[in-house]
This record gives sequence, structure tokens and C-alpha cells, in this order.
Amino acid sequence: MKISRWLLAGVAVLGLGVAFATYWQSRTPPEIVAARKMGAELSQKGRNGVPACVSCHATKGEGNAAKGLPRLAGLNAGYIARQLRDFGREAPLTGAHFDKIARDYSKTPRINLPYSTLTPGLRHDPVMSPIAKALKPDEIEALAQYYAAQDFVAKPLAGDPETLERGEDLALRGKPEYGVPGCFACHGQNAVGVGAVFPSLAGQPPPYIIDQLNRWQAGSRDNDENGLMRSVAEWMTEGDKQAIAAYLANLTYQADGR
Amino acid sequence: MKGWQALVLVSLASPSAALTFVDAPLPGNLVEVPVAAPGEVFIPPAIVDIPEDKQGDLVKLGRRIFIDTANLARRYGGNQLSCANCHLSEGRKPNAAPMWAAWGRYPRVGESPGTVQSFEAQIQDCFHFNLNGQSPPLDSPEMQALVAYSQWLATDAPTRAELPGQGFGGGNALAGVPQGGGASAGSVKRGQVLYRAQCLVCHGANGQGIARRTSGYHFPPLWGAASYSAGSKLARPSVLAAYLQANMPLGRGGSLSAQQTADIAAYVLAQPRPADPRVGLLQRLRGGR
Repeated sequence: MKISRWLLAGVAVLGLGVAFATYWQSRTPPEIVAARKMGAELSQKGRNGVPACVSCHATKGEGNAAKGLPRLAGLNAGYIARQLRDFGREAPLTGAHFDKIARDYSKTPRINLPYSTLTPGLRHDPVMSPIAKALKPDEIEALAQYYAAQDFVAKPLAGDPETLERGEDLALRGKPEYGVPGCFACHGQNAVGVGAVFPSLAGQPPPYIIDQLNRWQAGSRDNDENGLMRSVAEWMTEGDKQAIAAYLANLTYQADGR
Repeated sequence: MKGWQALVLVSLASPSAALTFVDAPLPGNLVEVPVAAPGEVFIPPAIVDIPEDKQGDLVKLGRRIFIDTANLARRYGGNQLSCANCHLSEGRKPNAAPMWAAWGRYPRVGESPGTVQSFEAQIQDCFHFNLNGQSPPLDSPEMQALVAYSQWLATDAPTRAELPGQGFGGGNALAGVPQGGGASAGSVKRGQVLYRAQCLVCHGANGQGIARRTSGYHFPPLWGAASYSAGSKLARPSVLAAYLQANMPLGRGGSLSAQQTADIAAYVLAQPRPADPRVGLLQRLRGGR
């Protein structure tokens, strides 16, 4: 009798321990909760020199399909933070540059790599860059955490069937005869996004997708890993851009803010 | 004043002057998309043109197995790799062993003397050595569907012909590299540096790749227990280097030199991977592969 009581108590303690461990594993760390709170406040009210994000990106970061303003809700936090940092970065000086003290660069190891692997990456925009420049690092992190935690349900846009067929072909298979992989090869099945490097594309407004592809082609957006996106964008025609934008906007997509 | 002197003066006077950013194409950028010469590579039929009949259903099943082998052919698979992890763009990409080029090249004389390799036997080898699984029987629906899909991709392609884009780009990717036999042509040390710069974003620091949420791999693992075995053709340095040079980084095939790909191949193949299933445990302990 006594033994079974002890056994019962042991099992109960063990169960409580397991429950607590599960809770401890699955809870959101307090610093992230604090960051989300700070991000929510900043995105709604803004501060001196930083306009509120909601004025363009909608109440919870859904974006504006008509104006081509991107959705932020449910994107990867690391991706949002990186874009804000790249927006706020000055373009590097080009041309002749002299050190104050002469240094011997002949012994510096060199690896022949694309420009974007050696530079932190640039993404210039006349509206976003001044705002991002005014943000402090902790504010960038707060905004990233806040928007990554928002729920988002895409509203699929109807499209011309032939355009959607062509878009699906590009998204799944790309243009293999040119060596171009499909969108889903990196951005995940149904473009849900893979990690902080390959963002989610589903549910982004078509004008935004087309505009960004144009910028990759023109070189005014250059913050990809290894020049991967640029080398894909180089091969896209105007028709390709429209087909892929229509297909991505036609996808069903749901982001559960975690 | 010469041009460069003006530049120096400007840079000395205002080293942190904000540069105005112009939304104009950079001189080196490709804005006009060039059109490949028609007929340069074979272009397989479009997915929407799969016929709406029983044969078409078989082709569609074959395509689904091809891109999601880990789920739909899991009774024969050993690891979570899919055909399309290496045969890129659903088996369509030239120089990534496209199925439209492979279809017309079988049956062919095998590597070991006195053998003839059929197309089905090649698929069985793929399951055995690359997926580390069992060979699907010739009459299994998986095998029939995969064969039907390959046959459909090769619609109107010439058979028994050397097609541009077949295999891994002609296998001459190592031309000009001093080869001492085996992996010694590439340097593991240089390969590690290159791997970190070029491959790590997708395939991870430990070559573990990125798994999908459901089944299979989004980016396949390059070594370790989940990767292909040492019996695979891709475990040969020259073959892997040729594949890398033609296809990697994804979308930037041809951007690495033959020496660089040989180095990366040497680094990747210096890592542990499942043993060749043809080599027994005792043989391995005695110092075989």
C-alpha cells in the first residue's frame, strides 16, 4: 500500500516535470515577447523621424495589392531584419580610395567571387531607405519579430488560365533550357519560403513581384546570396515576370505567426 | 586635369559623400535576354500537353514519383532523396542527366564486361546506390510509371544519338586539371573554403541539406547517413566535379572553374557517406572502401 502511494507520487512528479519541460520548450522567450511588443508599438505609432509602418503596409502588415506594397506578415524574422539593414546601408564608395597609412594588400588572400558575396548587400528604395536608416538595431529586430509573428491568409487573385499555366511552368520547372531553376526550387513548395535567405513569395502583390524582378535585372537590388537571384532574374522576359507574378498571387497560402 | 586626378581629389575631399543611386542598368548586366539558337538543346513537351488517357495518367504518376520519390516510392527507397534532387527541373535540365537524353541511350553495354544495361536496370541501380534502397521490380507500378514518364519526356527526341546536354555536360569538365588519379586532383582544403562560400547557404555547414516539412528534401544532403552511397556514380570525383560545374550553384551553372569544382568535389567526397552496398562488412574492415 505504502509503496504504491510512493509510486503514484513519483509518477505525478514525473508527469508534472514532463509537462513543465514541454511548456518550457514551447514557450516564447521573454525577450522575443518584449521585442514583439516594442515592434507593435513602433509599427502602429512610429516615432520622431520614423513614420508608422501601418500607413503603407496595412494594419497587420498585409500589404497593399493595388499599390504593389509588399506584405510583411508571416515573413521570416531574419529576412525582414536583413532587408531593413540593407535598405539603410550606404552605397559603398567607388573609384580611387587611399588609406591614410599605406598597407600592402598584395598578401591579402583573394577569392574570385560574385560582388554580392563580398559586400553586405544593397537594396535601395527612395521611400524605405531613409526610414530604415533612422531605425536603431534593436528597433529593426523588434519590427522583424513583430511582423514574423503575424497571421496572414492570402486572398488568391483570379487570372487568365493561359498566363497561370505558364506561371506554373516557370514556378515548378523554370527554364531548364537556359539553366534557370523554377521559383519553388529555392523558395519552397508553393513559395512558402525557406529560412531567412529564401523569402515567402506567395500572397505578395503582383506589382511588387514585377518591380523587384526589374530591380534585380537593373542591379539596384543586390542583396542576394551568391548572386543567385540576380542570375535567375537576368533570364526573365517581361512576359515571364507577368506570368510568375500572376501565378504567385493565385496561390493559396496561410502563414501562422509563430 | 586628368580624369583620375579629379577622382582622387573628390575622394579625398569628401570620403563619405552620399552617392546618388541611379536606377539604370549596370554596364555588365544582361537586360536584353538572349535567345538560344533554336535546336541547340532538345526541349521536352510541356506538362499541359500530357494526353488525357490511360497512358497520360501513367506519365503523370511517373512525374509525381520522380519529384516526390521519398513519399510515393518509399517502399523501395532507403533514404529521403528524390529523383528530381539530382535530375534537376523534373528531369528536364540539360547537363543534369536529363531523362529525355537518357531514354534513347539504352540498352547499352554495361561497365562490367559481358553485361548489357537496360533503362530499367539503370533505374534499379539508382534506387540501389543513390537512394540506398531496394531495386523496384520491373513490373512494379513505380518502375512502369518512371519509364513512361521518361519515354514521354523523350517524345520526338532522336534515339541512339549524341544529344547536346546529355549526361553531365560531356564529362570534360576536368579538362586542364592536373589529375593524379582519384580525388587528388582537387584540394580538400581549397574545397572547404569554396564550399563555405558557394554551397553552404543551401546545403548547410554539415552538408545536411534542408528537409521539406512533409517528405523528401528541399536541398539534398551531400554527405552523412542521409546522402547517397559510395557506390553511386556521383561519389566519383570526376563525375561529381562535372555535375557541379554544369549545374551548381543552382541557376549559376558554369560559374565555377574546373579546378574549383574539382576542389569542392574533393571536399564533399572526403566526408563520410554510406558505404557501397556491393562491398561487404568484412571487406570494408579489411581496408576496402
